[in-house]
Amino acid sequence: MNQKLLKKSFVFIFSLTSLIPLTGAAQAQETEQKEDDLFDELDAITTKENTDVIATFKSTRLLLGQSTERVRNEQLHFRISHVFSKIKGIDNFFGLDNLNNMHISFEYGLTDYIQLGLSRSNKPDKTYSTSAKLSLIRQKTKDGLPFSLSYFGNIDYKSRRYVPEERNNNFIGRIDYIHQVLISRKFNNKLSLQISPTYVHRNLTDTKDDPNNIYSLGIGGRYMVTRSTSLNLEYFYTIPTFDTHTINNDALTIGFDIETGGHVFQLYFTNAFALHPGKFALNQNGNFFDRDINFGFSILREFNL
Amino acid sequence: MKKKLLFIISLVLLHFVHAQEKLITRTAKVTFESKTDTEAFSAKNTQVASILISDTKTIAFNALLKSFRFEKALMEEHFNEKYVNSETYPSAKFKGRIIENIDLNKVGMYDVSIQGKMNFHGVEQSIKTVAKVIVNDDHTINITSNFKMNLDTYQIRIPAIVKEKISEDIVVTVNAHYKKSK
Repeated sequence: MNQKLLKKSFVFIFSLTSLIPLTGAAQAQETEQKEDDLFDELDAITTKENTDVIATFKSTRLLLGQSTERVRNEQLHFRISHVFSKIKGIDNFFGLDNLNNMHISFEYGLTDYIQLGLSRSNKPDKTYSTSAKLSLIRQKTKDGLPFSLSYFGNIDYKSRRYVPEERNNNFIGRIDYIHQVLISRKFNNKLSLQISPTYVHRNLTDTKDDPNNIYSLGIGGRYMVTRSTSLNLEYFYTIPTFDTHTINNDALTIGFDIETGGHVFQLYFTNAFALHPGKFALNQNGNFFDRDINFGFSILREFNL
Repeated sequence: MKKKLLFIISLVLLHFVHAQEKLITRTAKVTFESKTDTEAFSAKNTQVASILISDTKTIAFNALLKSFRFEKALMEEHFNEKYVNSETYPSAKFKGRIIENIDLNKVGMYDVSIQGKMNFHGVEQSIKTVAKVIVNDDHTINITSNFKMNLDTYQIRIPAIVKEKISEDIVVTVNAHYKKSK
């Protein structure tokens, strides 16, 4: 081994040993950088969530009418709603002595986008209803339409006894059709609004002056008061296409949604006597501003089938 | 000239020695359970992403809260809306290290401790938990762990009305199967 080679190998070993601590230092610095990168990498491989806006309303009903909320796939909603009579003094315990209407409904989610329902209202017509709600557009948190849109269709069968006998035997005359388009938007975590154009067709009305076709516009919304409670308002403006129309008889409802872990209670004050759209959207309610106000509530329980 | 080549080769080799081996999964399972005297419920997320770096024994998780599935749809909605505010805090993240000096390239079963930081609901918290690590023949790795999370620690408040239905201490189970990333 000559001297030149020895010198060369010395330089080589020296350069190697000096490199080791250098790379070590570089690594320590890298670790912090790496940890941030690690989360970027993680984000990149995470399966993306669905961007549907959730919880526009607490319940599938805004108050009396349907909201754009849906019964999810294979879930069953059982709901009992009541509306009592006028809150006028202690004589009938602020209306609670008399029940104007009790509405029982089952709503089932065939998929996340199709909801089927069966329900019954006792007064005034002993009405059986079948319904379907189709969730057509969902508001997205990003890159999508800024509102939700659903269609609600309903057929009512009035099973009460009619007089005269001829009317009683008229099967077709017992049927009403209701169509609603529900359009809602969740503006922020507290405020959501909805408009619901509504069309009611009655095959047979009580008098000739009563119109067969009635058009209403439902307007409403909710505002979260606490994390579990929202204040809701709903108004059905019936378009005055007939003589007996009185603006004061439009349905106006103010109430609360109270959510208690899987259950939703609704408490409301309304001038409506009935709880199904085939009746309350007909401009036949009491006068809200003349204290024709009834108290009502509904209880919702969800089952997983 | 020969020496110079050797020098370059040794540099390249040096680089390879330090190259980290990364294992990943996109389908780790995370479940959590709440149990009180009146009600028990659980939720499951099967799309949790995780990375395991074998030489530094670093481990990181990312679980999107909206991907947790509950038995009842309403519960799922309330979970996201009311309790974890998933629109503001979309995910739970964890990053930590296996403390024990084990070789993740050696087939076997190891009981280890993992120390790290959990970031959830806008709160960062140091946690330490035990885990079971299995290094399989095909160089895939399984990690399972089980630990408790206190909701109050992460500033998740339970309204008085449901206090009896939701436990303050949630039991979290993690089950991940890692494969080498390409």
